[in-house]
Amino acid sequence: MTWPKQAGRFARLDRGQEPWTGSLEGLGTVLVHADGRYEIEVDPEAVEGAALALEHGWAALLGQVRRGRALLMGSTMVAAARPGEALLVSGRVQEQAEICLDLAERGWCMLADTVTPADLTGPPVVAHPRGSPSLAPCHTRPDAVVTGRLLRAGGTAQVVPVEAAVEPATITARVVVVERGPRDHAGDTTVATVSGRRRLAAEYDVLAVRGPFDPPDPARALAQDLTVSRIPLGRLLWPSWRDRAENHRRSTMDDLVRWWDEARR
Amino acid sequence: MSDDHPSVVWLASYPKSGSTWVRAILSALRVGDDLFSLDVLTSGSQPFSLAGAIPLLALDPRWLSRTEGERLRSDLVCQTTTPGPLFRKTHERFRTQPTGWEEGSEGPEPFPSRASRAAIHLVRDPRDVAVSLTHHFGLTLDEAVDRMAADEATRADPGRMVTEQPWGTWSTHARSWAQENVPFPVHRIRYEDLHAHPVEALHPALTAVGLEVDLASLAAAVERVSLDRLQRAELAQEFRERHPHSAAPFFRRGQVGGWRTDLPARLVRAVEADHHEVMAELGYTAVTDRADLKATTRARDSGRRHRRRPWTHLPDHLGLDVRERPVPRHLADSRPVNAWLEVAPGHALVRLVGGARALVREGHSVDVEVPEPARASGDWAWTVQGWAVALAMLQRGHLVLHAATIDRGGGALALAGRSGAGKSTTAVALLERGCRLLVDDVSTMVDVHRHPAVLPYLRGVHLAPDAARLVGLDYENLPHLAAARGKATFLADDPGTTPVPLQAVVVLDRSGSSGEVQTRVVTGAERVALLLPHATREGAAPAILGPDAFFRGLTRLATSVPVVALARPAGDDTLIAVLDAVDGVLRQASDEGPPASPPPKGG
Repeated sequence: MTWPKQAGRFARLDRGQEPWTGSLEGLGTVLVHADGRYEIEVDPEAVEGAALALEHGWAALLGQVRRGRALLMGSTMVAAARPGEALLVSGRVQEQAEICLDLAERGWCMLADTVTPADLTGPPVVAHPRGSPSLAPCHTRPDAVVTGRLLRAGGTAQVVPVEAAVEPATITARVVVVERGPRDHAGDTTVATVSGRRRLAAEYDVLAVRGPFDPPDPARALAQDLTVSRIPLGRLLWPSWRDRAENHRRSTMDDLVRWWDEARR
Repeated sequence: MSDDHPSVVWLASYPKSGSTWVRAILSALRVGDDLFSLDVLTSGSQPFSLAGAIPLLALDPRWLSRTEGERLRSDLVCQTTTPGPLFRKTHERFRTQPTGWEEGSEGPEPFPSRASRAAIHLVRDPRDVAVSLTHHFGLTLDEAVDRMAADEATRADPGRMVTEQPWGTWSTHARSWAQENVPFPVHRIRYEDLHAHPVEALHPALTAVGLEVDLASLAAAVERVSLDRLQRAELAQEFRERHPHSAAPFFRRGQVGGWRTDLPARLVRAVEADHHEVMAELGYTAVTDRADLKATTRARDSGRRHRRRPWTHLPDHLGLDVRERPVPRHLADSRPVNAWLEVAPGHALVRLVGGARALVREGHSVDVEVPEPARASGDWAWTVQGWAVALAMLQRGHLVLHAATIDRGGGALALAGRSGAGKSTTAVALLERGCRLLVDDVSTMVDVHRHPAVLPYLRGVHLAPDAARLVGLDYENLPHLAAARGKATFLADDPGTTPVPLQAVVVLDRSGSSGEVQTRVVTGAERVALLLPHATREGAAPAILGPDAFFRGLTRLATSVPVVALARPAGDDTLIAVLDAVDGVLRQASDEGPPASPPPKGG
């Protein structure tokens, strides 16, 4: 299957030939084989950082898809105290990054940053290491704890040093982060468990790419959705940017870790 | 999708203009009641989101640069597989390439013409939009009105998976989607028409963009998403498009003309001043008369210029380093000049209204502290623009006249006088007669070829309500001074940095006994006596300069230029006569020409 007739002028992906061939104009080309191996060819005129973008931003993810894995929208963190068990954090990129950095300060390791390769043939859902450097939007936590370096000139992401987890882990719980607002009362539970049919609501949908790319038959697609929806799901109220006092954030993270500890059982 | 059959139909609108309602109608056309959900309203993600690259390409856009992100956006928009119209919501203003794209090179289209079939452009009375914005974004009414007039944009940020999202002002947004700018058909619908006759307003546009729908089906869909039904649906389930900072429901009254009760008169004037031209183009009638519109426009323009800089900002050419930091209540080893001013060698501490304090050191450094509880009470720029500058200039050895100084190309004219004499009012009024305001209140005399010249700098002019009215400014729409000083600040155009030779000093006095304005050229020692109270700066000048140096400087000033006493009766109805009198002085000074350079000494 190839990219639709109106191929992109910047991004092109041809899945109708072997290996899959993708190109980003001005950066280069990626070739991804059926076993997930990939090669990268950088344009001679490409600016600095093109190789990194092609590999970690694209080829590595395509390789995961070719290995039959799905891609989930969210970052996956593994607690040092419970190797083999992971928490998937979804929501806006900014809030995800803040929460993962806070977890990292508590000794957690990052298995996958923002996009998580996962095996959905279970249950359980097994997350695999993404193997790419961790990124955060620039201006995330501009305090001394995070000293990222700009990923690329002209870009707006910074590389942040986070301990990486290298072994696959079972996602035993997941949270979707929403910003706390004036209608959320101070006494509202920081992490509320989402149960029943609500787990299938669009706002909690994290399945970005079903492995493989081509949509599977409806029965298989439903099975994948149910597999993901079986994971205990929490809705995390993250302090509004107007109220990001240090102690407020710390107490929210305490609540999150406590919730995960309960939910995973 | 192919080039021959582009499918995207943009639902383009400034926020809070009814696009969600239209999307709900479109959803109701597609699905039955049992499947209708607030969370899956027609039109998916907005085009600025790059997250779609992950499911479509397995490409993580955070690894891209800003320009690469904009190019990817264009590709993502073009990716569609539906044969029929694909409605996509956007609040962005229309443009043919990203803002600031390199000139001369063809940028990627944010709204690619090869994918765009048409646009349905929704517009709504900006006065109602302002009210609705407050509830949606949790803003105050003032904030909402200012936002509608601000051409700010969220920059492209691939690190957050977004491209730029420029709304523009309400006016530039509306004009951008006018047909002549857009390379595909645009069907404009006014919210008010949609509200009154939704089927009649919507059907032609939907038919034109290729959505086959009969009137009866459309009417049924409209009925299904009536406002009270949407409100009930929102109560039953959280609506995820409701802004996190909003305490109000998303679906409120949706009424037309609610601004008449919800928007205070001064903000009605503000909205109309900001947008009256486009309002007229779209058929929205302003209620403010022309003169008031002009007064409000001037006030709003001034306020915008004022807010561009932090309150501690002073122009670079003054050479003053201003820092906000704690200031002691008293100065060690100091001599009190009066109840609120202390001086020591090279240092001056002033305690200001509202509990603010400023410490000025060696003519180059200013520390200023404002009390935390009162910080939000208004504008604090006056704490650095006034006394701090005056004290610094005195520390540098300059005389500082308590005067507003203007210029009309022939040299500077200083308007001195006691508080309430009308210096600032007269100076601002003279702007309408082609004058330039060099500085208000702190007229620093510097030596240029051994002749006094006034050092200009941009600062706010403080006007009481009556004075603002007299000079044609909408007082309520000017930034108000903090600490309940009962005045607002007006910022004229930047006067530049070059000192302007002083041509004359006019001393205004409200004690005139006759009913007329009278001018008198003052001679002899009376000049010094007349200028003295306006040069002492309430004792600060002789204390800092030293009595001898102060007197020498004052005498030199008084003998260098004509000094004119202008007596006016109390009351405001003499402004025109005052302006005419000052005009006369200016003309005379201009006729006499700039002062000649003194001959070199020695033979």
